Amino acid sequence: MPEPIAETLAVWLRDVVATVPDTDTIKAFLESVALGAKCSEPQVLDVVALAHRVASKEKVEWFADLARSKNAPIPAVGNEALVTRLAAASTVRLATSGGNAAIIAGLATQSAAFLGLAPDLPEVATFADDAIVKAGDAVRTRALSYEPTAPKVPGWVDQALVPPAEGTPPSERPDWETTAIAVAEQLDDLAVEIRKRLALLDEEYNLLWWSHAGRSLTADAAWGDVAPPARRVALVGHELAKQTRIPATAMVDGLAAVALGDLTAKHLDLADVVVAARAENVALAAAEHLLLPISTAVAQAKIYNEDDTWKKVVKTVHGIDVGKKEPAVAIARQLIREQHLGKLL
Amino acid sequence: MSDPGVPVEPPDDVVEAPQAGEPAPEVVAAPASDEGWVGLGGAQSLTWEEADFVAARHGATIVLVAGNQESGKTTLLLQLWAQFLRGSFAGYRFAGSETLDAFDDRHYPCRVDSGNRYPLTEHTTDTDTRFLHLCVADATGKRQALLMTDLWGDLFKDIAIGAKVAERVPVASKADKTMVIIDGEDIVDHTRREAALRNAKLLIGAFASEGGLRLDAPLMLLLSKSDVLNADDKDWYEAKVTNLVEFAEASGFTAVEKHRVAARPPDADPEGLEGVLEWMCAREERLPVIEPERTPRSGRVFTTGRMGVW
Repeated sequence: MPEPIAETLAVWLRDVVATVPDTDTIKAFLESVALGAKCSEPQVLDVVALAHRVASKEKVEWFADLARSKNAPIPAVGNEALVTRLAAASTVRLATSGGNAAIIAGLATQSAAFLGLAPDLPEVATFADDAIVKAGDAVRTRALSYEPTAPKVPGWVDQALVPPAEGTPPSERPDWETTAIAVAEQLDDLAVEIRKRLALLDEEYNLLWWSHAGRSLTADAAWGDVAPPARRVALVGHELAKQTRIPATAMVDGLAAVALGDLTAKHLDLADVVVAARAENVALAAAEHLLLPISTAVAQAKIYNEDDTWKKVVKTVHGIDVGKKEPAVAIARQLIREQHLGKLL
Repeated sequence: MSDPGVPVEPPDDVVEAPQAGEPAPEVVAAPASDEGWVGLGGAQSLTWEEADFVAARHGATIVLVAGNQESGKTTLLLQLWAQFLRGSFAGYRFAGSETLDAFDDRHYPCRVDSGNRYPLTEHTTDTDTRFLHLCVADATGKRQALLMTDLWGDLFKDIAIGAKVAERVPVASKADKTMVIIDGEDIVDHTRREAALRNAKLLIGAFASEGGLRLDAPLMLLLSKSDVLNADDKDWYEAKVTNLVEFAEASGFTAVEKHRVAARPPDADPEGLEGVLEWMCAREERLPVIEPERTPRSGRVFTTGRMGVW
C-alpha cells in the first residue's frame, strides 16, 4: 500500500492541526494527499516545491483547493503550514507510487536539495532517494524468462512428433499449429528480452568506454583540455545524460568525477555553468521552475541574450540564486537531473 | 470553525515594545518575520477548534500546563507573556498572539493601574479545553507558535484521584510538551509538602497510562513560587524531585527535566522564566515516522555500486 497510511498521516499532522482529527477528517486529509499525488506530471514540481515551503501563494491556494475538494478542513487564510505538510505527504505518496511520477518527484526533490532547500518532513528526502534507486534498478532489471520456459520447447515438439496411433481420426491427431504458435511466442519473448539486455549492455559499455577514453565527444578533446572549468562541467553533464538511461544510477557521480578530474570538488559559479550550458546547447527542460534552476536560467539567458538581466529575473521571478557556488560534480549531476526531467515532463 | 484572528498589514517599521504597565499594544510587529502578517489578538483564550487555525498557519507546539488550583499555572503563562512588554526575552521576540486581549485581561489585576494593593491572578474555572497563544520569533526571524493550555486546576485533581486523563483533559494525547507544576507554597508547608509530591506522582502515573500523554513528549517538573522556599526547603525538595524524575523515567517518559521558577516574586524580578520559554521553544528533532521498504537489490556493480569517493 502506498504511503502514507492514515496512522502515518495522523502523526505528521500533529503540529499543524491542534485538535485530534476524527476518522472522517483523517480520511479527508488522506484523500487530499492521494489527490495531490495524482496531479499531472508538470504539477508534480509544484507539489514538491510546496513540500519544501517555496511555492508561491497561488500554488498554496491551488493545493488548498484540491484538499477542500475532498472536504479537508483547510482554513481560508493562514493555512500555509497545513498545506505544506499535506504537500509533503503527497510527495512521499508520489515517491512510493512507481512510474514516471515517482521519478519526477524523486529528481525534483533532489533538485531542491541541490538548492539547499529542506523538506517539511524528513521522509520526503529519504523516500525520494529511494524512489530513484528503485526506479534505476527496475529500468535495468534483466528479465529471465528463458530459463523457466525454453526447456519446455523440446517437450512440446516431441509431443507433436509422436505418430498417431493407427485409426486415430484426423481431428485427434497432434496439433502442429498450436505448438508452432507457442514456440514462435517464446522466440518473440526472447527477442524482446535480448533487445532489452543489449540496451542495458550498451549503456554500460558506452559509459565504460566514455570514461576510459577520457575525452569529450562534443569537444573532441581530452577532458583536461576542455576549458574553462564551467564548460567542462556543462559537457560532462551533457554527455553523461545522453549515455544514461532514466534515472541515472549513483555510478554517474563517479564517472563525472573521473572526467572532471581535479575540478570535481572545486566550487564553481552556477551562473558560469549556465552560460556554458547555453553556449553548448545542452538539451535542458523546456519548463521554467524553481526546481529546474539551470534550465530556467538558460531559458532566461536566451531571452536577455548577452545582458546580465537574466540573473536578476531568475532571482526575482523564480527565487533562483545563480550566484551560488557549488562543487563541480554537484552541478554536473544537476545538469543530468534536469535533462532527464526535461524528457519526463 | 471561525477564524479568530483578523490579519493586518504590519507597519513599515518595527513598533517599539510597550513599557511595563501599559495596556497591550493594538498592533504588534513581528520583526524579521517570515511573512508580512501579524494576527490581532482576541479577548478570549482559544477553544480547541480555534487553535486549529493557529496551527494551520505556522504549525504550533501544544504545551499542557498541569497543576492543582492556585499552583501558579495561569500566573506563569501571564508572566511569560508580560516579559515581552519590555522587549525581547530569552533570545526571542514577540511575534504576535491570537489571545492578546485575553493575556491583557488576565494580567491587568497584576498591574499598578488596576488599583489592587497586591498583584492578583484570576483563577481559571472553565472546564473546556482553552489555549493562550504566544508566537515568538528567534534571532533568525523564524517563528514559533506556542499554544499553552489554560485549564481549571480541579481537572488535574480529579486525574490524581483516578479519573481518566482522556475524559478530563482530552488535549493530553496531543500535547507536544507537558509541565507538571508543583506549588512552592505547598513545599514550604511541612504539613502539605509530602501530599503535594504524592499528588504530582499520581498525576505523572496517570499521564503515563493509556490515553494519557505521549511518552516521547518532553515532560518538565516545574516548581512554582520558588522564591518562598528557604535553603532547607530547597534541599528537601531537590532530593524529592530527583526521585520524582526517576519515577517519571521509569514510567516511560523519555525526556524528563526539572526546573524551578519564581514568576512573580513580590520585590524582585522573575527568575527561571527564560528556562521555561527556552524549553517550550526547543525544537524536537523530527524523526522519520516511516522508512522506505527494503527490497532485494540486483547486486550488480553498475546499478548498486559507486565509484571512487562519490
